[in-house]
Amino acid sequence: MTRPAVERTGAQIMCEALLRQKVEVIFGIPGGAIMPFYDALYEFRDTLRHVLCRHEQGAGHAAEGYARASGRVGVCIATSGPGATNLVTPIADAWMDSTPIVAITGQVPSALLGTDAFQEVDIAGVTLPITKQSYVVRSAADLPRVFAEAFYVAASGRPGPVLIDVTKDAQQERVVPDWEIAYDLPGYVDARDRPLDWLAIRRVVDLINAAEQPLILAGQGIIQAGAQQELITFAEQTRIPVVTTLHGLGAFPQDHSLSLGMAGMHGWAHVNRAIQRCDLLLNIGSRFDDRVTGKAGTFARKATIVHVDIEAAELGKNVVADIGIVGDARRVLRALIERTPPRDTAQWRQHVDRLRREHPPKSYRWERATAGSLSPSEVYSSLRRAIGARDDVRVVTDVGQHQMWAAQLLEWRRPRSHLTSGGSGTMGFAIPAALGAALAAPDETIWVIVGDGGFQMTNQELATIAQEDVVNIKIAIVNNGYLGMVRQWQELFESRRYSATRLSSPSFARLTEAYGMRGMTVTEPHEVAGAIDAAWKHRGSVVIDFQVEREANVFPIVPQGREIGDMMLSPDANTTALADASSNGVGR
Amino acid sequence: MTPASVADNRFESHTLVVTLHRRSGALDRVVGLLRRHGCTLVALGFGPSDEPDVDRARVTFVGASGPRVAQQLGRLVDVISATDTTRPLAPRSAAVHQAPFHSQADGTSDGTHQET
Repeated sequence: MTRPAVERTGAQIMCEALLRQKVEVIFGIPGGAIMPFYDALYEFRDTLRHVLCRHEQGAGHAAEGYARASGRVGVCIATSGPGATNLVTPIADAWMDSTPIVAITGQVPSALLGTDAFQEVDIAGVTLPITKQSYVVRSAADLPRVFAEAFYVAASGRPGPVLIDVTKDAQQERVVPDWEIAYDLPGYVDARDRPLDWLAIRRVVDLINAAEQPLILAGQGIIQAGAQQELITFAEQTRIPVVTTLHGLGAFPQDHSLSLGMAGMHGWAHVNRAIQRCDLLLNIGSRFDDRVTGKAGTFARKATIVHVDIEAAELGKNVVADIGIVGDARRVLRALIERTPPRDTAQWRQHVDRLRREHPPKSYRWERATAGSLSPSEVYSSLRRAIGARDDVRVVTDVGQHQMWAAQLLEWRRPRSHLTSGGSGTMGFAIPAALGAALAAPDETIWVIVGDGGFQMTNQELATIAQEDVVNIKIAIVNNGYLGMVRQWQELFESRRYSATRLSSPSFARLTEAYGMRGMTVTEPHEVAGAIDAAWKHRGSVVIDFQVEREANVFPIVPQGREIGDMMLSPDANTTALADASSNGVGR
Repeated sequence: MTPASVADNRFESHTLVVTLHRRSGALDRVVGLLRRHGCTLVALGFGPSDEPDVDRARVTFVGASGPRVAQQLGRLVDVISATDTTRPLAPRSAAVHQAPFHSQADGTSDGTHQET
């Protein structure tokens, strides 16, 4: 690929650097300060696919969707100034959800830096707190090392976003690139390479042997470490039931007998109660987010807590663990599998089953839809039936009620099959992220579930989907005419004062048709299954506007700041704390 | 179980010694992280260390726990080490009475400052 003696422009070096990182697709929009790169890209158009998005935010989320679906680094690119600032939201999203992306931005010529030049924004400064690392490159000679470091830092340890800001003159400068690169990262250690703390591992093994009511909390760290098989082996060997976080959906197959489901603010009652009841909590690859823990000081209050995380800075940050282990989930699990003798937890599992029977998920899953209207449950149960046991489906959700219903009501079995914006809660994530996922998994079907609020935030990317002839995206809008989650909080906690949450929308089906794609509207329960089937069979991407019951709620809900045992199961039961009836008064 | 930092006294000062890779933005990230954790800087000293391309900062701040901030600083790619050098029994008002930080360049080292 390289002819060392030949001079190359910085822009050409950038393209070559991307190819050396095995990048196949990049998402972006050109503009003044990044034009030299785009000019060089013309030579590479057969090997480096560029997807022209309609908004840089879309490009950023598409890079995230690509990264999350594939496990590889996603790449987005924008010009300086507004192009760069439009990437801020996806960069923040990637930061919060530990998604490996490299964001490349053009910058004004170095001679103009600091002069408030046209389209000059200090994007490295703006993104300082939300990037794992950032580079401002003013010399083409630095580009090979910077790109190599950026991809390495983004993908290693705890993954995250890295920004490369390249001045226009650095893109134009001609140098002979030196690809014999040594990283210049004296402060950085890939936590995956750190030696394990064997003493801590031994203590965990002793705790597992002694525990009567152990529980595993599995987070995204399992998925990022590729440790699903190890988790299954470990759980089966020790018979410890498994609960997951939102991002942990898919880390452990939910059709497994040891799977309990999702924990947290909208977790199932029996899951949250099991957490409050257990005497040993093994958190593997989750950061104890407040949406999982509720009031942190009360989380798993009876348990000895073990926290395994790739990021040392997470240990003790939100919840103090009795034992913290820094390490890659797969390595730690392998070490535990080797050392933990098989055991059983029959009594404990019976107890958990009893918890599940007392408050079976179905019993409070739905408020009854008013006569003649379509309940969201119809949409989810039809989707669940349609997906069935298929392994060629990914589901991308946006943020809000529809997201929580999807997390609760679909069955998650496979890592990287559930893509959503968790930590950042970015409405507008789903459609562009689905575009990225569709390119990462072209032979699979990408189902998008999105609300009518989020759909309107980034649906300009339908034009990108149409132009790129992406045919494997099926979008289900759960349209209730409200910013539903906010409305739900207003209903439950603010005396139904619906301040600024009512939405009126255009015909989404006709809007979709205007983009040259197939659009459908569904208002009747009996139409749901047929529409999903038609969408699946249609050769092309589709939008179905499911106009559902307007004021359906997500239950259970743990009001913010409460302990996760304090679940509301219906709108009438004002913050009812569930007494753990079957535990001889040892509950709350 | 709540992290100790939550109960940490907001007016207690802490001093960290941070070594960092010399590159544009490295100190910004350190200072930015302090701000993000609600710290107010009371003293800041910065200068070269004995090693090439490695700088050394000593930061004194109020508003968050020293060990916690040191732990979070470890997450920064350019931070080589972050050590809490707060003296355990320092009076709460110590920071304002401490002699300003002297970088290694002028010959003083850690712990030479006087507590009142």
